[in-house]
Amino acid sequence: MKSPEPSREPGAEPTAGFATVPICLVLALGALCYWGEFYLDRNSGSFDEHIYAPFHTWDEVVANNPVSEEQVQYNLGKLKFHQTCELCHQATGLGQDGKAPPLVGSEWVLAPGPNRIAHAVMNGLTGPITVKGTAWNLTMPAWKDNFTDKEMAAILTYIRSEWGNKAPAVKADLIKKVRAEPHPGPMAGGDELSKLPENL
Amino acid sequence: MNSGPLLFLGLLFTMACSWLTFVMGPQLQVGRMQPATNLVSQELYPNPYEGVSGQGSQVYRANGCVSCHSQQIRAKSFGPDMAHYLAIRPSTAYDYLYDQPVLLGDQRIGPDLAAVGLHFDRAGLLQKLYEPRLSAPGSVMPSYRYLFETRKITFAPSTNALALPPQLAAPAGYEVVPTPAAEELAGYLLSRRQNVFIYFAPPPPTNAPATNAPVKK
Repeated sequence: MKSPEPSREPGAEPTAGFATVPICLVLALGALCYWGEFYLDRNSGSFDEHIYAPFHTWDEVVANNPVSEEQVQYNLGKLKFHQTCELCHQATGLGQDGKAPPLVGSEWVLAPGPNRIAHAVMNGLTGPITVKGTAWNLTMPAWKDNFTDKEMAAILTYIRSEWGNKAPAVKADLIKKVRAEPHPGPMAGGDELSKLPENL
Repeated sequence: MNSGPLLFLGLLFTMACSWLTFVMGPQLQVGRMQPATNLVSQELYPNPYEGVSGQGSQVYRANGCVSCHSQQIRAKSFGPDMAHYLAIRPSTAYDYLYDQPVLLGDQRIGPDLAAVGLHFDRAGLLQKLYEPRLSAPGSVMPSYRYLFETRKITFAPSTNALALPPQLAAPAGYEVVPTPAAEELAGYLLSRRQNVFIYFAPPPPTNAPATNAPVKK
């Protein structure tokens, strides 16, 4: 008599057959993966090296930081000033004869509305201009293509608030407006600047 | 060999998978990290090894400290590390930016050392290395007396000499002083602090819930 079952005789080689995986195991595995995805989405912080427990998102890290928006803008402005403007206007903001007029206490920098100084920095400035009672006649290059709206606003805010200067911050919206009305060539000295409105 | 190319491809695939997971992945994640801003002093964090603590990390490795001690404070939601080791925040990758190699450890037979520099002074650490059971009776930590030297007092006692109780004190006219290796190790341990809030690990809000659940918006 022949049996379809594998031989169970002593000494016989064991053999392996095939069996289907129970569907419930497959479903359970799928559910586990699904839950795992949710868990990672919630807790992984996108595997970002800047996000650590107990924070879950970059927004939470920023929101919990004692560093204010103004501080961030100040840092950015200081950095950009240091990289660019400082070469002529000096780290002290006092300027240098033959290079650049002072920014400290300058009536152009400290004007209540930042429109004129924004035009000067973005489009450049050439020709005679009077700063703190001294006549200057130099050329400043146009910087509008070198900085984003945010960076430009940060630089202007920095020069208006550093070294004892006290003038309101500059918003990126204003820079956007100034950028939207292109000016051919640099501003022609203090005369043309004075014709601009102080505020936009 | 019948299926050489297949074998080769299989090996290549296996190696590529582990390389992608263990080399490429971490490199993409933390390979370009720069020092962060210290929220208190506005300076950069962390500092490179201070003084002899760089050599101390080699003493730490050579004596197998890493086999029993970890250097990683986990967040509250993962365990009571912060309360046990009196840390002010969980560890971040920034804390290890200058460690070469990073000595995280994988056993917690002894206490975590990530913030040990906050809780010991130099003399206490050296005494601990000489005889751990003086300050913690029943400790299973081996004593590292070979990092110390018992030597004759020639002119005046050394200012570095250990203050030991009578049963361990050196014989009259002798003193126990740490070798340079022990000084370096103590310097390294004292530099383990992780007590600085950085931009990427700010203090959590004081009214934070006890759980780690995300804030509902």
